[in-house]
Amino acid sequence: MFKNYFKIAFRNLIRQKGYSLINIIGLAIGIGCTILLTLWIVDELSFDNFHVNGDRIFRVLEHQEYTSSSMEVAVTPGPLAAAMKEKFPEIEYAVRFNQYSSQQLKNETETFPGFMGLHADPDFLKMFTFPVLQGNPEPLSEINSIVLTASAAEKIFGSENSIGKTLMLGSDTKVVSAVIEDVPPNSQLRFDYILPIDNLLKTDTSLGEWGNNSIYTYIQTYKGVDIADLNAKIKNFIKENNEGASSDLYLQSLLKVHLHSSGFVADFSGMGDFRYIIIFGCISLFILIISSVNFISLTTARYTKRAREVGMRKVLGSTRKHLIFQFLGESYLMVLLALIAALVLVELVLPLFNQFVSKQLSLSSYSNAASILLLLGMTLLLGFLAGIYPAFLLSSFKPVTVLKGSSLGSQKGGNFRKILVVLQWSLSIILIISTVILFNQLQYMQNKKLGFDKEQILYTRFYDDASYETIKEELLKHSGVESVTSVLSLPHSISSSTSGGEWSGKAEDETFLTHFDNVAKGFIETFHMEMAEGNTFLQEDLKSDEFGYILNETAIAKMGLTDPVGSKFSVWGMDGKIVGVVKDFHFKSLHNPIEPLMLLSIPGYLENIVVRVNNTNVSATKAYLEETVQKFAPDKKIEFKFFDDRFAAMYKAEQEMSTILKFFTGLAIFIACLGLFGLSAYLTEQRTREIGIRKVLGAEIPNIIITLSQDFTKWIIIANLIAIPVAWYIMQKLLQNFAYHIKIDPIVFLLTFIVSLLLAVLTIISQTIKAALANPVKALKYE
Amino acid sequence: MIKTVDLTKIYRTDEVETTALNNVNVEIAKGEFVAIMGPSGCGKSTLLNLVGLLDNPSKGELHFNDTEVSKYTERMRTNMRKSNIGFIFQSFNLIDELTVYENVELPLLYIKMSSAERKKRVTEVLDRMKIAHRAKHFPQQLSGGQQQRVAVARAVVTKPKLILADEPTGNLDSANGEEVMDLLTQLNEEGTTIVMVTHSPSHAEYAHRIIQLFDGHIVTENIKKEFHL
Repeated sequence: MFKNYFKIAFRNLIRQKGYSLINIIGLAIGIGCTILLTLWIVDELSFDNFHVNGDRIFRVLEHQEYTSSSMEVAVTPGPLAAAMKEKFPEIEYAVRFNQYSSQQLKNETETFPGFMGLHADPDFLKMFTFPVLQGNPEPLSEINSIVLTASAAEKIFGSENSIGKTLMLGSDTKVVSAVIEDVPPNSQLRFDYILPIDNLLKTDTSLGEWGNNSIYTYIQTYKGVDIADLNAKIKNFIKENNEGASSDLYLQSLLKVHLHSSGFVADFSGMGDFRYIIIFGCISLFILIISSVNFISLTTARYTKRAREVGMRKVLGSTRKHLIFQFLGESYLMVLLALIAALVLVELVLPLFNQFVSKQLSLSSYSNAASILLLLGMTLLLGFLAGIYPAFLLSSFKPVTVLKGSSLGSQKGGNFRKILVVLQWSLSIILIISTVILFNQLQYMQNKKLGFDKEQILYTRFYDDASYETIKEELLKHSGVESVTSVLSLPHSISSSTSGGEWSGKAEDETFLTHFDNVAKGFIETFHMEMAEGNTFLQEDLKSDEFGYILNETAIAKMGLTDPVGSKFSVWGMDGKIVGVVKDFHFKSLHNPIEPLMLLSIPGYLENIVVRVNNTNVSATKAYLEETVQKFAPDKKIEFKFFDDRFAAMYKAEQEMSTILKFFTGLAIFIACLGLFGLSAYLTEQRTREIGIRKVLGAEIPNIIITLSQDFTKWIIIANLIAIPVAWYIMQKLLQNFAYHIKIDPIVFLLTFIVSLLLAVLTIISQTIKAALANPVKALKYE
Repeated sequence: MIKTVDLTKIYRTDEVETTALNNVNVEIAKGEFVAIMGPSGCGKSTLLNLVGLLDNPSKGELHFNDTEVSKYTERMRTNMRKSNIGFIFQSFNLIDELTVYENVELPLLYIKMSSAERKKRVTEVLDRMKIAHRAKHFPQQLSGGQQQRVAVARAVVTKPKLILADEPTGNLDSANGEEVMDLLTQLNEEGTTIVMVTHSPSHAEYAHRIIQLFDGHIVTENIKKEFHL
């Protein structure tokens, strides 16, 4: 019997090529999209799960409370780790580390730029699972040691054994003490080398103070420790050790760091966001529904073609169960073929998708038993969901009716089909609206007036106090250079903050948190910022023992100063006065509102040279900048980068999401159109006789086209009416994540409405025109 | 073999109630060949469908081999049908996606006959219907007469006790029609009970008895040939 079912299914598949193709292509794209998005989701969810003791590793976070704000802070004081380990017996290891951006390493002959470094405590490699391949099993015990990843070691030393070899990091000589396995792509911690953290503490003693939050602290507990209990114990630990501190401590599971750290201050870069998991999960589900709907609506629309077979099978002794089994089997066959096609599609599209999402996803990395079971489970579920309604509908036919050739009524299953098409298009329209709004938001973020000019600015990560003024002079000699300055942090992402600000009139119990950046003279001018009042650092006129401060408008407003310029201000005991008030500018991404900011100009604490250039031959100017600064930095390879590129990287997550959304929305619409095309073909065919009669009675071609199109257009209009409020609600919620966002323009809805209607009409027009042009005599004969 | 008592079938829609069969009492003996005639819409096919257990009556009794079956569930009717009754239709109702051989084999699959037995039975019946050379063809590749021979083969392959034929010659030319009637006669002579709905008086002449229906009632019963058990 099974053979018989298979034969029928296969022959139907071949005979109805067009229908089969529509079904298989639609389903394959749907399944393919789901696989791609699932790969992405699984990868995101797998972050940091390779650490053997991952369930016992926790990040120590601070909750800081101020008079008018509060924040979650990822960095902690330097002494915290050791103090916690000593105080709480539940802790097995406590380690500190700090991440550094791109550095260059040098062997005897060559310089290797672009290495990411990490300073860490010796227990770092005991806590985290980064297995040592070669060398000292405790490789961070010597201060001049360096641990390289396998790739870094190979890049620098080739296939030679690198243990014991020396290399230069800046002017320091380091000895390779161990080579560890490469950091897996799903690690939140990204690095090419590790140095003992003492190197860092030696150069910046303030890192050893309780009042300085600059270092990440992680702990590993012993087995069986009650984390709620430990959380309660550590809550006031900073306050106990640092009088006047207002931070509470709490633990975050390592496995939650990647996806559940949205909005944390001074956090790692490249964080994920659990909300995106939900959004992509929904998109994947939407697309799967849209493609399954094609299958259901096309199968039910074709029921008349199968009615006689069903009737005859019943007459010959088939029970309803047999028939349901048969039609479900056909559904499974279709899904199975679609799955094979989907896997081929995914393999083809994956390189492009990986580029979109900056990942290295591959099907083979998921070819384990669990993934295969998941895929099989999905096939079974999809085959069942797509096949069960058609199976019930087809098996319900009464043989008496169908064998007599009586009309089954063109409405059989029709209402359900209408609901499906409306559902399918509603989901597609939601995707269209979301994509357009998100795109608009991105455009808005990238074009919003930020309070400074990000164009025509080049920067390099180099600063040397001794030679800075000479460098500046040299650079300014070039006609392409407009101005030169130096900064600690570039002004698009100033994350350092302090609660140490003091001014006359400050309430005793007021805790005031302000962000700060250390900048050189010319900062305001180089970035084309505007002053609300007072002077820039170029114009400041201070006594020798006075520090000058520039605050932003938000800071002044929160401090409640009415005449700020010239009033006394101090931080960390550095007395001085406010020399100017800079107009508010966005020094963080537009996810965040503008907060109080203080600019200081302390010589030495600077890290980047920033140059504004004019637009005549920028590449020549860039080459001049690099050549000039290189002379002062023989140990380092100087490269100037465009600031606006860095700025764009801030919205990488949104860019990625927008790209994914555009890609998958396009596919969803394609699948929906494919379904509508197939459905219209069948429904128009079913109405052949009606069209013939209408023509005989005098209907003209336009009348016929309108008659045939109006059903479909009605469905699309209903789908719009459902989708628009839903999309509005979803996007309204999503936009709230941005402190600065667009207002949803009703024109988006109107345009989507028109576009969806046009798409639907274009999809069905060829069918309707064909039917309208057909000879009525043939149509009537055919019936 | 078949006995109906006040058999009634009423079709109801939201607004209209149509009595297709009205208190029909008929008895058909084992081995008999009965033709049912009457104008369109008189209830011929309805009677055939009820007798064939394809539908349940609205009222009355239906006895099949002395068992009252009018209240049978769909599953019970299916079981009774598949081993006892064969059907032949005017429009053949062959399954387009199956070959001649597979169409004929289909009823045997439902009674779970072994593969070897099935093969033997199908080959026999195709030979008998002189259609064995077309076994691998699909229905669309055959003429109307050939298709009806396949349909007859499919109806008889399970060796049913009763064959119900609903205008079996309606779609055939006279030569093919005669051929089908000869086949039915032959089957009847071998002991199969046949009930046939027809519009053709000449084909009705093949039957032992003609039942005339009008507006859901039996109006006359005309014995054409003597019939002995």
